[in-house]
Amino acid sequence: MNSGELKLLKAVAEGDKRAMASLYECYMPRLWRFLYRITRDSDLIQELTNDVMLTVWQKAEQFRQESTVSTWILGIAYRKALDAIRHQKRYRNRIEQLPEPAVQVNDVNALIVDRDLDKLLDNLTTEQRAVAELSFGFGYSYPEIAEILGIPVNTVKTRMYYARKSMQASFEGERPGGPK
Amino acid sequence: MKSHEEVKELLPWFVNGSLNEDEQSIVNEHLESCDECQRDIEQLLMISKEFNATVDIDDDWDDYIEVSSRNFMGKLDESPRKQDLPVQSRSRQPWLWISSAVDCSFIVDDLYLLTVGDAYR
Repeated sequence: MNSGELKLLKAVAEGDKRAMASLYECYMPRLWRFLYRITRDSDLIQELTNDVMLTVWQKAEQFRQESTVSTWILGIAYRKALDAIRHQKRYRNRIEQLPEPAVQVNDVNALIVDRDLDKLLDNLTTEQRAVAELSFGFGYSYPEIAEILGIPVNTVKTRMYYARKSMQASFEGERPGGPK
Repeated sequence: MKSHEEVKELLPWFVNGSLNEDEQSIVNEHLESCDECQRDIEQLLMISKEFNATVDIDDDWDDYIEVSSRNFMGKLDESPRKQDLPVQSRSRQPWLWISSAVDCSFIVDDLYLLTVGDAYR
């Protein structure tokens, strides 16, 4: 377990706002990447990231160290992302009400969007994308992924099976002479 | 001993290096004699590379994180946690007992006037 993150989370549980700011800054890049890969909607990410970190702030004292800090936070992010996808309209309204950020990143998408990868992810479901990103992008084991997503390990393997099938088909489709 | 299909489903986690030692040696042993799984490994390595392709990070990204963090911390002040709100039990708030007693006395007075008061008109 990452002891630095655990210390930060314990301080957050005690209401330490400086620790919360550090945790936010430490997790933002990871959350942006994870949330983009599974929602594929860069407009949603800012709102979702804040929602996730607000839940961390409110529930930090409920963290029981049965998982690592990162699996706990990514689990929250996954559930928030699924909820956002199910309630797109509600999120859209909230996003439209947000003020423009004071600092504009010239191309936020450049950080997280890789067009080649986009093609690979095109035909995957949200759930399959989460399993693929957590495996290939984050390097988690299948029991850890089961914990983050709150599903049995066999379901992780099944989702990966179908994700692989689809990604392999995309690869083969791109090869000269491969099936279209 | 795991079957070919069982080993095949472990391959993504063989590639990301997260299998336990037992599973790793089972996969290694199987790979020695299985061409199909060897081809799968090659493809999974390519997929993994796509997921981890490095992209130039915008110079403004650090500023963006800082500003987002500051905005977020501002929001925290507007939404305090339940556990941070002051909680006082009724027994620690004597004025509540006093005001309740005053309220009760007014109610009793009102009831008395409603029932008996007409006689004085």
